[in-house]
Amino acid sequence: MKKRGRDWAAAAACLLLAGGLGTVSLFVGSFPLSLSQIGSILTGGMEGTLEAQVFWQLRFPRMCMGLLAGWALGLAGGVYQTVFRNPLASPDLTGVASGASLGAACAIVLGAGTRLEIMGGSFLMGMAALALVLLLVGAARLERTGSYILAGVIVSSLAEAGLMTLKVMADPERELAAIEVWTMGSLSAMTADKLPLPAAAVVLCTVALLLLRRPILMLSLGDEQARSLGLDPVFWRGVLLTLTTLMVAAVVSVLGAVAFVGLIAPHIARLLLGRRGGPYLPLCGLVGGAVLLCADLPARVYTLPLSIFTVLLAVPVLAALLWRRKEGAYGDDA
Amino acid sequence: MGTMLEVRNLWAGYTDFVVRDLSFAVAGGELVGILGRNGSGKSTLLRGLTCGLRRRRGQVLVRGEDCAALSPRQRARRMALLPQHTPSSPGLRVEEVLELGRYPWEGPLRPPGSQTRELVRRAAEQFGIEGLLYRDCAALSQGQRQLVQLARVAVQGAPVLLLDEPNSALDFPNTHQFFRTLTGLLAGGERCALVVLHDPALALRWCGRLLLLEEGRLVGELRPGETGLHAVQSALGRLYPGLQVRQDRESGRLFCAME
Amino acid sequence: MKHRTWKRIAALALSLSLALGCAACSNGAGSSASGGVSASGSAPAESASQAEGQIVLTDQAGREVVLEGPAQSIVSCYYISTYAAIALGAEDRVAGLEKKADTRPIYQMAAPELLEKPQVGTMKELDVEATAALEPELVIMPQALADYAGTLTQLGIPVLVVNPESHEALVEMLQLMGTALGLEDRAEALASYYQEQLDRMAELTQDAGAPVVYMGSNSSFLATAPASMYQSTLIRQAGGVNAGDSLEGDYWTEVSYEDVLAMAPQVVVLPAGAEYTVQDVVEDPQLSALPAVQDGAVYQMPGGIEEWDSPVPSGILGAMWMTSVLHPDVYSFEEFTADAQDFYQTFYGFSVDASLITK
Repeated sequence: MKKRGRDWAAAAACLLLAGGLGTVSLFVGSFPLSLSQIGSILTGGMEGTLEAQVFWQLRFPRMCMGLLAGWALGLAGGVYQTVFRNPLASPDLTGVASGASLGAACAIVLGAGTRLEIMGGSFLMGMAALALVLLLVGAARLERTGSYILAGVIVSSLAEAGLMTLKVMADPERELAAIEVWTMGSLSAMTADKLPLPAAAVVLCTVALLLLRRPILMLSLGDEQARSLGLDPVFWRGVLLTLTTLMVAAVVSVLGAVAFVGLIAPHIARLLLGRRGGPYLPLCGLVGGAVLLCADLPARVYTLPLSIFTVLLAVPVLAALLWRRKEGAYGDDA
Repeated sequence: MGTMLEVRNLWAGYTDFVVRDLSFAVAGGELVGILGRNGSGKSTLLRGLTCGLRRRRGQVLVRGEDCAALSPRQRARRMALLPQHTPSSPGLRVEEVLELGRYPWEGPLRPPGSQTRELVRRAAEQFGIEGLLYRDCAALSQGQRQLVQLARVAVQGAPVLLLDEPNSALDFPNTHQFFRTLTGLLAGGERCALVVLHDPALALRWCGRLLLLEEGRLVGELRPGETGLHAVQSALGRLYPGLQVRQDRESGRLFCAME
Repeated sequence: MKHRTWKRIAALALSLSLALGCAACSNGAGSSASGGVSASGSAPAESASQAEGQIVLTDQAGREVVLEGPAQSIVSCYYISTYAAIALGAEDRVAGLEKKADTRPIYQMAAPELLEKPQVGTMKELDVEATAALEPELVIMPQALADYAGTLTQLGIPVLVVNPESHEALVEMLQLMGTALGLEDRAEALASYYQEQLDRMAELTQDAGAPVVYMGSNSSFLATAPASMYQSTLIRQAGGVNAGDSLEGDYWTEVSYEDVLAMAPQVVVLPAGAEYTVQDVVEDPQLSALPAVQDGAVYQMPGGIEEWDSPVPSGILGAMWMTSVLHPDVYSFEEFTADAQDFYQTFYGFSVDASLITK
């Protein structure tokens, strides 16, 4: 049973961490809610009071969304890194996140900027970015992992240019502020009614991705081997990327673009677990959730965008990655 | 023993055809070597057999069934390919790589069952890698990795094995160990293997039959046990100028030397 | 192998708990400051029975706002609505206000107690929990924060969204706030002062020529206000012609030196918050041929009290200041100074130092 010991230890550590941070999140906020108040609210008391309203309308949904968004970004990052066999693959670097950002900015500036429009816009543009990446790779007839990252960089730059144009066009009093907060991510506008739609999308995609973990692992063997094992790499990569994009866009449309969670969560999970098999994917999600909740704690106290804190958390992890790569811990093609 | 693999007028290539109008058949239990200079189309031939190429013409039959009409998974149940280069796949354990060998049978959704685990365990024993099962693939030596890949091919359970330079990373004893194991795998007559090789001596030592490839065409066929020394010498000498084939007086085996 | 795992997990947990600790500490300080306020507050549902006392408004985002009675405690997340609260004499009802309040000199002069109040939001983000913790009877917020309006309404806190983009919208905002606070008379007095002064300026300047006025933006001299901007209205009300009226756009529009020279403005006005000085403009060799520079007619709006070049409640003073600059012969600067001091005495209740009124 020695081979499973580390799996259990890592899973328990992540569960405890995410659960602990989630619990702490319920107690942190600008509205004074005491331990005993929260206790009685949780047991169904204090109905109709402002305290209960704040808890159920603001604080609880905010914690849920933080966990959910971190989970989605972490899981997506884990899938990307495995499928592309590249430790730098993440929604940030494959163009999906910037595409989704552009979509939301379009909705804010060109449309009425309602929640549904933002959600639809970010999903459509996220998918469009992904389609463009796949098209570029297909046109180059170079089905290599590096090609995806390079195409992602191209598409990201394109989306950035679009975003800059929109920023210039935006009404500085209203829309510009909204776009800016949006490109840095924030949970401060999170309420209970914004939860169901992204939650449904994330749960659905999570179930699908966890069921499909064999194709995910097989793509990490390289296209040629995957093909010889009877798996069509182009088709399955398409399916997996569509699922992850849907999940990322659903989350991004609510809290904006949060930097680096999708990049560092898989590395932390890998560091803890020591491999990509077994409970790796759910662990990526849990670590992502923990990272996001951790970043949201100072963010909610100082009313600052999330990305400031996720980047602060990411820097030591990325530095550690650099250090470990020197030791060759990520294999020769990493 | 019946014909297991039959190739009829196969053309295959990337932008142009590299393999031109090849036809041959392999019977159950046979270990067939493919010899040819660099660029003669050996690897392309193997890829063409698995239908993994854009340009392809002709027929590939496994036990009389045309493979082009099959789905990728159905094809993978009939033919297993060991590519020349296998990425190190950091983060994957040997056990997991072997389990993936059962994908053609289990599909994308079913988790590996007890039958798969039993097959994996047996294959690991057969190839002497049971001690590596829980190691990270990326941490293995090239030789160990090659053995793992061969075990994966065995787990895949396909009757036709296509091996592209399987010995490229193996040392002398490991190479012969590898071929001994492979011969054992074929002994029942349920499987046949097509092996691309660069070393004619090795091919003469282990293969029952050799196909000689030049510029994508079949230019000769040898049966080391049956073809006479002079015929072997002239066929191989054409492929590798300056090559001398000698016969060991005691065992009658053929070996090679360079002038 | 195994102890290395645990070391890693422990190190991770440690670093996370450190980050957590930081957050928790700072939060402790924050909540204890606002705790006193919430303890004294009571549930806003008390007066629900007196339905006839209800106030129903349509705010500037087109939302319907229902109040049980004049709001006795408000949170204003926008400096213009906070200014308006002072102008309406309701500064003592402000329980919380926008961030960066210490950068606005008027608070120090007219209502220093506001600087002690919790600051809950910027133009970009609002701390909903902190706002709710103040248990206000009304939250006033700018259009930019309108997304948060629904959230607060769900918590049972009425929200008035304001959008003072023009003189008219500003007067409408003052009237809305006046009704919501039960201070209709004060709002009416301010509104009629507005109309009076506008009429007066129009009358004073109707026979004088209309000089061409170029107004630079806050960040750069080479950006000016197109016709749709508030600044253009200000110039027109003061009997001038905005040099940028021919430009397209809704916001500061970039122009080149050549454009400015072609516009040939007779007067150049720098906004109160300009990051460059009158001297920079006068000494710019590219601008030496400009009529305004040659006549020494380069002025900067004073920023020591309020932003008169924005639609703030004292924004009428911007039009009056502009008139005194463009037409000193019909409305002298001394006259304007006296009017401005009078305005602050009447509506804000403090006497403003004349040295802050410059040109």
